Amino acid sequence: MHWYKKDAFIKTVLSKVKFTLDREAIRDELDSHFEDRYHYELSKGTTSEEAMEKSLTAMGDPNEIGAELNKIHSPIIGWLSVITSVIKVVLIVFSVFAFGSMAIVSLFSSNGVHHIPKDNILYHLEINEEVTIDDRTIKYTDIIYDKDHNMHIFSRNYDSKLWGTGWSLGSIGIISDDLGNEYFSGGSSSSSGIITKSHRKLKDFSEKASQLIITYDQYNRYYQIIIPLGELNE
Amino acid sequence: MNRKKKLIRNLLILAVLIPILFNRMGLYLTAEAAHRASERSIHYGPSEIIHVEDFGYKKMFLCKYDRWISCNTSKRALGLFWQFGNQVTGIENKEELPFTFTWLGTNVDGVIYGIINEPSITEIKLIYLDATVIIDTFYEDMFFYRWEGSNNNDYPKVQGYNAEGELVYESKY
Repeated sequence: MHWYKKDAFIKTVLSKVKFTLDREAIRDELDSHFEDRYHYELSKGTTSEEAMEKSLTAMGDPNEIGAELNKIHSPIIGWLSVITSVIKVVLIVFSVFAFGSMAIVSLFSSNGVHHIPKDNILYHLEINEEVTIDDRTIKYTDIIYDKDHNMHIFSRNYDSKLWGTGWSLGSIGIISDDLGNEYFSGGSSSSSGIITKSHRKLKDFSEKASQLIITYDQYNRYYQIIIPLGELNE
Repeated sequence: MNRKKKLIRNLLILAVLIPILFNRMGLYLTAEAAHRASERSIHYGPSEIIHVEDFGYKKMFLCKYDRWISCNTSKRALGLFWQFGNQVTGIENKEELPFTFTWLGTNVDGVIYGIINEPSITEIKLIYLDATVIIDTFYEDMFFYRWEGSNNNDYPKVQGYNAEGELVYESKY
């Protein structure tokens, strides 16, 4: 068999195609075209060598074919396509991990309401107070007063521009009551993630207070929330 | 899909993904953009930038915002980009004093910055245990001095002098 003639033909074509990554696919295509033509010639009763010659003649001039294929398989477009595909895959995988992990933390982290033992709760108020500072939205969700005179304030906040990558909310403000008491000692905790869930605990909150007041007044940003408490020790 | 369409599709996807990831990684194209975003994120400002000190790996922004002064930092990230630094928020200017200042110190470097409230002050002196630093360059009515390394908690007396060389005010931090 004079397959070397076919191989030489294909080699000449491929030598004109500068984008090397496409050469294998072009080789397979040319092989396929050649095989189809070769078997067609054979089916007409020609000899193997004649079929080879006729098939190669029918394929055309390998230099011209190579030049045309080189225009179609532009190396610039080719390499740009490969590079952008790789970058795209890397960034998609990274995004899934980066945002997915934050989303999972936000979804599954607890804001602590259920960590307060039920038999220690004197009062649990579900509230729906929402405020906005710059791009941050803070939503106050629960107030719990327990038998140890601790007031627990639960909230969620998110930054609509930075989605968890900016500074955390340092302080929700001054906590006071309608009797003029201000509360500072206690503790706080928060989860990270796209939506931050926070718990602020204040010790020795007066059982005689009928209002919980949260006042934020920093750097020309201001809000005040007044929450009626009813009878705390009912 | 032909290759050109595939390339266009990839570029469109990257045009959406890259800004989102920049945001997620806290990367900014300029130091000032990082500074502005940092201020807004911490609910301060927007401040007026009076002077920028460029140290290559970081920039420090000497700023005024209403009755506060600040010296925020943006840090280089990945060689080409910028991220939030520290000390975003400021101190309140005590206008009843001839000058107000504060200092920020780490093991790497430290900064003293402040604002002059008494117009007759033309020179600031920093009196350390074994050295004196004279500041006679002001940025509008603000001053700034940076030292490298740890100063071993040797924070200076700060003195303000008028053009006649008379001591107007001395403050020890």
